[in-house]
Amino acid sequence: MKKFLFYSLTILFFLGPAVLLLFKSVTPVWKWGEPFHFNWTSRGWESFFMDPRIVQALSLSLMIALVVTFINLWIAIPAGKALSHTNFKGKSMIETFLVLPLFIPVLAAALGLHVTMIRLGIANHWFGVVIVHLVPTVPYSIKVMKAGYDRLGSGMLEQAKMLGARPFHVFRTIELPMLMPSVRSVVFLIVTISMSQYVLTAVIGGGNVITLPIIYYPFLQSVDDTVMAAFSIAFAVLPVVAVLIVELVSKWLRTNMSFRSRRSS
Amino acid sequence: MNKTYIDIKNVHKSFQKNEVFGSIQLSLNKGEILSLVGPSGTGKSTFLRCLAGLDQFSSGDVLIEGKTILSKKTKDRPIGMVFQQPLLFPHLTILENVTYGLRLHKKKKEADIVGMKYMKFVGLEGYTQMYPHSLSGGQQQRVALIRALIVKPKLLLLDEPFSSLDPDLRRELRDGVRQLLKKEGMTAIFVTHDREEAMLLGDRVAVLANGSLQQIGNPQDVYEHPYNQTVAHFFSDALVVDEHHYIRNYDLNWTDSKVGHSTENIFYRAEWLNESYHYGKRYAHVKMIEKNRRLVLPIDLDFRRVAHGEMGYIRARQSTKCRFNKEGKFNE
Repeated sequence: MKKFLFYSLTILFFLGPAVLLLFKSVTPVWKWGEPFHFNWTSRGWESFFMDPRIVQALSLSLMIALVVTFINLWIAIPAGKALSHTNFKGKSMIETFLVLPLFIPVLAAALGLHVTMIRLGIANHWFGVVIVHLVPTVPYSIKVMKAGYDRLGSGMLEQAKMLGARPFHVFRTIELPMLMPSVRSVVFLIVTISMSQYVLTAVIGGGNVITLPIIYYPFLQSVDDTVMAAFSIAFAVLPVVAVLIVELVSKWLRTNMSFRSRRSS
Repeated sequence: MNKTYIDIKNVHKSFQKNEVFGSIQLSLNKGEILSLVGPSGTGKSTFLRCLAGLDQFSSGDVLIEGKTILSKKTKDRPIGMVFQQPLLFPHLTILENVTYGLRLHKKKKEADIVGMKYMKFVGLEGYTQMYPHSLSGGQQQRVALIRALIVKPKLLLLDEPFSSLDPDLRRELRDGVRQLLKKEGMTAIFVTHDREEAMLLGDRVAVLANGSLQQIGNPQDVYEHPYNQTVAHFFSDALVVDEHHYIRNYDLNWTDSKVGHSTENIFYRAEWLNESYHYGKRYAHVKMIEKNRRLVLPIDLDFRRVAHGEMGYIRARQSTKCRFNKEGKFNE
């Protein structure tokens, strides 16, 4: 019964819409009242790929999302560990402080940042966009990594240390492999958030940084479902690609570097 | 056996303003196993964590072969530790777990050969490629032990390694552990709150209670000649008569009435609570009315059945009364 419920819900809410979207991207627009017809068309995908900016936008989106993700992990792993495994004065205050960016409208922060970025000369640049994407993402990743470290506990790490491993070696061989579920959650969440930013990218990118949403949103005003469907699929595939890339990097970090570097000593 | 291998000098630990333990002083010879025993919450684990470098002593010094180790980082101290939980790395196979410490300095092939040898010692040679979750608690703890031993630390700390196992398994495991430690010539401090375990594993026992080391000596001496009331209550089976005297439980009897000369005998009014059998002997669980203390004393197997709540007397001969002091028994 449980299985049946699981599969029917999966089909209804996940597989169904996805298949429908795919179907929609290769069939012409159907208007209410018209008789059903099954004419295939590649027009949706054609107009998607014909746009000269699309390949560049795809790769730029991917790059921004990945850089945002790595900076997120770079901040969130030590921060999550500190919040979970150590005790210090004002810990709960700092914890609250770290989630505050979620409570102020991101646009307010962005407009403030914009002025600073113009001064620093990174407005209208992809790196400025990366920085502004950190505002709505870092609080989430810290939360996720803290939960990961809570679950891991300090015992395993102490044990590895007792066996003579250096902190970075412990990180590669014990922490990272055991925290992979949390890292995966962070990657998926952050890539999706970063790729959905329209307003922040538009404000800071100033029209120079063309990411996928910048092209995608104006299309929303057209009623061409076929093109929209093609766009949406491309949009959904990007995070998967990003996750794959992160997965490969972490795998390389875990296996290739884990023991070799210490052999000489 | 006369050269001091490990010297722990006046170490002291306080947490904020509370003293966890004050001024512990002890030394170990090479290859010696010391059981550190004491009631829960007396800082035994903290003491080990400080030695290991996972926590810091507030003052004092620790020397291994004459050199201080307190200035070294955890990973550089020649100390191994087995925790209460096996803490095996779940994503590594058993062999990878065992050789984790070795692999930091050795090639995989060499490490694997040594790892296999150790796995044979503990009878787990068939489990090399399995993952920790498929092993039982006792097997996991054996893996944790050889994982710590394999890097040949100068001092091995065992923090109640059997506490998460069931009694049968504990008994089975502790003999094996002692044998292995002796075979390896390992110097070890074994922390437990179980007296039996302390006696079985340690060449010497040290009783830690109320924040200080109460007594240290070979298990029989500490059992037979406790220095003070705390040791008598916790480690020896003894009835504390007053602050200077005690009587060992095996010198006590149960009687229904005060029979015998009162000059030769001491009587304590007591209530019979229950009885139990242990390794072929029968024991009475009684409560002394006057001191409001429970006591377990041996009785004859053929002694009549006594009902719960029946009143009677605990009898001891005056001559069995001993005095607390460092010379042990003192007849009055």
